[in-house]
Amino acid sequence: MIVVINGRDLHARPGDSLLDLARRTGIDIPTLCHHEGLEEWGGCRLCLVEVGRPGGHGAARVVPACLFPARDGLRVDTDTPRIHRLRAGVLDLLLARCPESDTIQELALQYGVRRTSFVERKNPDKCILCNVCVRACAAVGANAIGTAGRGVLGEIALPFHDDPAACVGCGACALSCPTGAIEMVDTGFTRRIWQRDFERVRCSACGRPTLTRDHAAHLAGRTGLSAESFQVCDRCHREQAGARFLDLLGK
Amino acid sequence: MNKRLQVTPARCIGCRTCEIACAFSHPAGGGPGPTRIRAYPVKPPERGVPVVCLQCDSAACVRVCPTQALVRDDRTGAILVAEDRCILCRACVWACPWGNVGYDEGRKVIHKCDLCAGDPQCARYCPSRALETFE
Repeated sequence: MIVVINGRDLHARPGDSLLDLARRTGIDIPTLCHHEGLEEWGGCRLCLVEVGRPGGHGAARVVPACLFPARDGLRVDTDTPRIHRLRAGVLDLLLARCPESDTIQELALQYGVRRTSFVERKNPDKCILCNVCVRACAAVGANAIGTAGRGVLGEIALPFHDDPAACVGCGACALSCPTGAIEMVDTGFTRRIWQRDFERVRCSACGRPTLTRDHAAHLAGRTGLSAESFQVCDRCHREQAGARFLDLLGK
Repeated sequence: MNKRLQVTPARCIGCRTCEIACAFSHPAGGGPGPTRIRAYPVKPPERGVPVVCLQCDSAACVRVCPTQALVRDDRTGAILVAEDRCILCRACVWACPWGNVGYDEGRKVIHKCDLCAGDPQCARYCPSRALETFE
């Protein structure tokens, strides 16, 4: 399967998206919402590329590279003046949303956007609506957060903005967020995230805090591993493994 | 180069040279990184026991990972962390019954033994052949 990107003939593998193929062959396409471990979302609109119509008739179509499957004979352009203009437009909007974000500022500058032409948001947060947290939460199996609102009011939120019941407090959303927009505070045996306080398991061997009780129950339910296995922290698991080996050796 | 790592705890003297070799073979932030092997000294006399990832056939870390970020390398047999696939839920850290998967809070990465791409450095520096490699 041969796909022509920017005039280069490239071998695509079955199941490749245009983004997969471009990344593998060293062609730079900017993205904000793409994450290798998560389902493609196609939400940031930065990976837009031009795809030629079959037979070369008519104007090229603009498609997101992350969602567009590679097909034999496809002609793709990733850096035309039109694409440049479209990406600059997206970044102009994002800069109005997150004027203080380094990620957005740097990308915008690459596309010649020094300042947003829109009105900067008052009290901006760091969220760029990439949806990585939402998809990470879904991958974990909790599905506790989602997108809410539209346009300038768009945000990542709990159901009805105030129901954290489905959250297990694993913290994957906060840790995988590329801009650090989600607050997670660990204080002793308490973790605060998404307006809720979670109790962290006290390691039955050393007494240090480990994962949250809800996360432990969630993992035991999903993985078939025993609930007791989540009562010991990783360091103590290892020390106990050592002790077990010693026992076996009669040292 | 693709070697098999063999651990013989009876020979361990608890010197923890393997930990240093590991840390320097996996540098992070301009210095030695967190060690992926541990040797617990036992006294007296000078004895010890090394604990390192067993690269289990049916590994708990692989089974609990929601994004298939832990992948076995067919060449070396090591289970590797694909950092770009990881969402840092740390289920692997809690699930490993041997405590052989770690989380680096500062750098926000999961780390575990990768068999040094087929040439384990802990074995190279082990003075008592508690850790050995075979071609």
